Amino acid sequence: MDELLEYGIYVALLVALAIPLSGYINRVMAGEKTLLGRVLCPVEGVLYRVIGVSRNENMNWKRYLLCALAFSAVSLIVLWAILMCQGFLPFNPEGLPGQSWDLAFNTAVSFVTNTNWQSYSGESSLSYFSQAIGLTVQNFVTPAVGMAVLFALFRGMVAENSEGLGSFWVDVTRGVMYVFIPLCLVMSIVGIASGMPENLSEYQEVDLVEPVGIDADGNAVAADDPSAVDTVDKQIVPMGPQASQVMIKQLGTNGGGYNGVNSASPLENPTPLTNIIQCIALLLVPIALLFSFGRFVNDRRQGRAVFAAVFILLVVSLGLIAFFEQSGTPQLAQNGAVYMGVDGQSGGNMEGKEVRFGVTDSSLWAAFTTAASNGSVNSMHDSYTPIGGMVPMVLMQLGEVIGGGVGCGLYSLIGFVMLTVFIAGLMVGRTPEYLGKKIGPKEMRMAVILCITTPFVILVGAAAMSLDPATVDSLNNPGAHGFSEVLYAATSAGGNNGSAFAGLNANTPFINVVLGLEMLVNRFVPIVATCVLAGSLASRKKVATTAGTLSTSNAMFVFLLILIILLVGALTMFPALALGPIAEQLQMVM
Amino acid sequence: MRETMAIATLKQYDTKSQASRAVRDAFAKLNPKDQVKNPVMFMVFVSAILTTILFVLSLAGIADQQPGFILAIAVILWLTVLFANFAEAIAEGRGKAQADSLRAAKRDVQAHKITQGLLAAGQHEGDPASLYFARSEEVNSATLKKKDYVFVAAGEQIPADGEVVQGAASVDESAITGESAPVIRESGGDRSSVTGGTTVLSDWLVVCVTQESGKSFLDQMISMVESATRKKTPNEIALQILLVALTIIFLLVAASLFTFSGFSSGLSDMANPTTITSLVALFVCLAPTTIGALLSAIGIAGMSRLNKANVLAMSGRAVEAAGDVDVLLLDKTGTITLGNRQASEFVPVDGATEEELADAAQLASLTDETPEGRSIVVLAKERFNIRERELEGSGMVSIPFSAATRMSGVDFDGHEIRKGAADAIKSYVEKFGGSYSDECRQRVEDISRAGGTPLLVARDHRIVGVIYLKDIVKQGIKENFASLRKMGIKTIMITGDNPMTAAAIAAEAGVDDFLAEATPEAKLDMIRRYQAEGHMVAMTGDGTNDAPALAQADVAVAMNSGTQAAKEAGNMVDLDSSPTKLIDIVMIGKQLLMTRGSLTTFSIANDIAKYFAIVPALFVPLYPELDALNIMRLTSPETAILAAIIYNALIIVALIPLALKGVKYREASSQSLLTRNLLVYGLGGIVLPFVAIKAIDLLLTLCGMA
Repeated sequence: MDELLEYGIYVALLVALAIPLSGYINRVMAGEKTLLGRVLCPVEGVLYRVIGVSRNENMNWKRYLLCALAFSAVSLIVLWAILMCQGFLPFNPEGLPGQSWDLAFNTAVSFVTNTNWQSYSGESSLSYFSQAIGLTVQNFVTPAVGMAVLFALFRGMVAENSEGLGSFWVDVTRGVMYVFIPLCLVMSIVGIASGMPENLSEYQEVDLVEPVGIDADGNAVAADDPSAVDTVDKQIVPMGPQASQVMIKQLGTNGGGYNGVNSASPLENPTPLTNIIQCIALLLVPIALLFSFGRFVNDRRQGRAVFAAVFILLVVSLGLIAFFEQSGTPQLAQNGAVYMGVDGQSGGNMEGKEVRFGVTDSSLWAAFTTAASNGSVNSMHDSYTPIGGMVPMVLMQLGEVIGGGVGCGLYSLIGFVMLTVFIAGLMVGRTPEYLGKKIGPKEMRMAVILCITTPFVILVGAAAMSLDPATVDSLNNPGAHGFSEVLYAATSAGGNNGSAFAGLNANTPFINVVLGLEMLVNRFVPIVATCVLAGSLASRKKVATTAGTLSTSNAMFVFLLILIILLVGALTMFPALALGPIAEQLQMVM
Repeated sequence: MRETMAIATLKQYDTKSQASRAVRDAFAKLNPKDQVKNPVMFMVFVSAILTTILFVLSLAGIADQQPGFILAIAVILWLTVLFANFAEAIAEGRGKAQADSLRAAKRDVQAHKITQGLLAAGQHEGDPASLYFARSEEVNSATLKKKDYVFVAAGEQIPADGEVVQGAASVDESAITGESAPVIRESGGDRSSVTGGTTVLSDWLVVCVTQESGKSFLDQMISMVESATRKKTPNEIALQILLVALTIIFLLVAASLFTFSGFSSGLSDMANPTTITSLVALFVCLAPTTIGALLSAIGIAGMSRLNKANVLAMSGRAVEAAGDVDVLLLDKTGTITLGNRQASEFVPVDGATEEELADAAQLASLTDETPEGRSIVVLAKERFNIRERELEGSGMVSIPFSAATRMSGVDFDGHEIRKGAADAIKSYVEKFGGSYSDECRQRVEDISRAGGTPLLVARDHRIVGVIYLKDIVKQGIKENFASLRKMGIKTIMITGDNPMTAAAIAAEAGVDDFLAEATPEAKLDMIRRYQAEGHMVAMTGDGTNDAPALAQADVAVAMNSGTQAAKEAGNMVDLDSSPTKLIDIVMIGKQLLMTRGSLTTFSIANDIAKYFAIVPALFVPLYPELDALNIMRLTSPETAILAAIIYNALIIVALIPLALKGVKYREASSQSLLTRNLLVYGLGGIVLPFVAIKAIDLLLTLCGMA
């Protein structure tokens, strides 16, 4: 029962915090007065004067899109350069060299696309400069870009016979200044108070509490074991500006860990309090934006409807992961080999899970981090049961719309909403419309692009990796699980999620490039589609709502939306999943 | 609903010759140029070619599967393409048959082109034909230009579209409308437009040509029924985009699957169990071929349903717009009320008796040939048995209605009897020292408030009473409007009546709103106002003064009996000139869109069962455990794939009747329509293929294919 209560508390807390935040984000993005405005407004003004931006510029879709793309392109080139040149840059107490061109490309793309796929381990390969000035900056601005594009779409939906979508520069600036920096500041302070490092000092060498012995084969054994040929009694503890990067990685659906093991590391996630803060931060902004949507279009029922669809899918996914992880496998349960209960200690499938978190906190995190396009982890998804590991994969394959990335989750979801409206709208005998705007060929083209880009990219990426004979050498496991590892990597990059199944050594030039291209396409094609859609919707006039209009806010519509999301996901991914987790599950139980 | 001659002709050879023509067309459409117009079916076409090549290669020993199996797949794919062609051909066939019979009506004739000017009025009293023959020359109708004048005698065909400038004649328009009763066409007013290809039965006409040959109404009709749907509508294009996107993604699913299964089998040191043939089959099954094959047939059939209702749409877009209409402007007369007002009561005032009033009213109406006038005479006879009296020789002088006095009546033996609208009679009696009593005013107001039209009768400058002219609201119209309201369609009554009368009738008929004392400008304003609020407005019109409003409305139905200007301003023409047609048009538009949506849903829902048939069939050699997904327990991988692809082909043929007829339409709220269609086509689309594929698999097994 305690487990159920814990699941309930996490989910309830998430929604309870998202609702007030949605109103605040709305005020910020609408340019209205906020409490923080007293302090920040003058700073904002100075900033605009310095970069030469007019606060009142109202860009058309082409200009808005151009700014978004140019900003991202510059970010990409600068970050790529920083990563390759970090050896010559300051704040590098460990003297770490620059990354190879392909790894730097992969990493730069990964952070500029809000993916944070990591083919490297942060603590052993990146300098403080790369982490703080390179990666953390992108962690702040990429969610702001997603949010900006989303609000441009909102403005297009609300506008009539016009073309103004707001100013990209103002939107990004306000997103960073009013939403991400203040929230991250508060959370980082809690994190530092809980013991997360936030400094620029050298890595610390400390004594191990319990020395470890190494035998002749290089395996770890007890220090007093007779076969030990060597003992290790010291360890290196990585330092650096960790707390700030960890908090924004969660809040901005980035997910790139400071350390290789991400939030499973006690440095990044030291206490139950930091775990709950981070876990909720995974989905907080994406969920809040669903409610902001309703507020912005002046019909809160629309926001509640998309929230309901997302919420139901999230809870069902969480339930499935939790159930399968708690049940473990028939092999684990056989003859009581492993404790499966929940009393006193965490039972179930504990392989690859932190004992501090157990099945409950790990399942929550796995569901939240893949529902959101976040990708930070506190457990090893590779070690999940076949179905427990498939659900996170499916959450990404559905197009990262169950919350998804900040901004991009919702604009992709609106693509699915339009698809639903189109099919259902025809069935009531009208040419389809959403929020009073007719869905013509142009809108349909963009909606379809939003819906199928993710599966398209995933399939192409996975096919490319499958064709490369060298991929087999990167695998930890044979058979169906081996294919799952490849599919998960393609999925994680293709969904701009960035979480690692692990088990696949992805740092090869070929995989780095394939995954990099996947991330780029899945980030920017939908941004283009969203801007075109926003421009097209803004230029349309609204049609009146009558009893003959399809309701897009009732239970029936929510049901249909869920169905369409699942159908598109299932129809595109079912054969691939059959070769991976489904085959594995069937092999396991039969 | 009256059947046009075209439809009647169509019925005669509907069955055999049309079907064989459609079969011929289905093969003719295998031309890649035709195939490429439908991207979804084009991919099936390419797949059919690909499997055929694979079969030929397999005969040469390069086989990825048994040649017999590859041949079976290739044959079924060719059939799938042919079935889709057939669906389109049969839908087009209806239009073609209609066009053929219209073409029969259109032939070049000799026309009497007037070369020496028109005769002045009065000059042609005696024998106009010989007079005009002398002033005209014989030309071929094809050479007629705009503004030429032609003379048409009895028994001759009218050579071109035009306006009657002189004469009046009865005209047989059955070639166009299918209505055999002749209609009157005469100069001036709203009955002056004539159509080329119709025949003058009696008397004669002088017609000013308004459309040159090739652009005539008949030509337009022919091109409309033949080709209007060839141009895709925005909604069709949007749906096509969705279907193309699904096709592309399923193509990728099939192609990537080849690499996935190759990779997976490599991990287990096995040969790749999937073959190109089976992946092609998977792709064709998944691609939305059902809706892809039927999409254009649905559009053409919607148009031909409209034609069957004797309405011609200028574009397919207009039909779709009809489905979106949510405001209907309906003319009161003929649509909401029976054509004419009828006298229902005599209300005497100022001490007169009812019989006195009836007597005076009857006398005043004896020469009044309007339906209202006739109804007064009838009522007087019914109530007091007052017989019709002969005017001739009785010394009575009839005073006809004039716009100046707005009264009519009789004078006899020094008595004056007049009837007219309240204000006209009031000023008339007051001019002669009579009075308009409070009682009279009260009665007039009562009648107006009740939705009637009060008609005052005065005898010798003294008001004797009021005739209650009543509008008779059509039976069942209230229920009609209620169901329209449920569908979210607002009805607005347009009438020339005063607001009080209009309000009463509006309430009785149950319309949502009304426009009283309507002028063409007021109508136009109203349409603009509703459109500004985001509504889609439909209206009918016939007069030239309706043209601006027709041009503004989203769906504008011009009466065939109306003027040329009205027809040009509208985007549909109602050959029956029936004012209630608007409601049918909206239904047909909605039905067209619903059919499209329902079959799309059905097509996509089908994929679930196909996956359960094909995926285990593909991968069982690699992972035998995946046989658990074979929930239909199909006999073998080969029968499973064949069953799925045979179902995929047959369902196209099975759904042709539905595509042509349209899904059943009910007047209901959007919610209940959605629920119903989802249950039938969504749930049905999931369940049916499971059953059908299993059945086909059993049949194949029985035939020893396993």
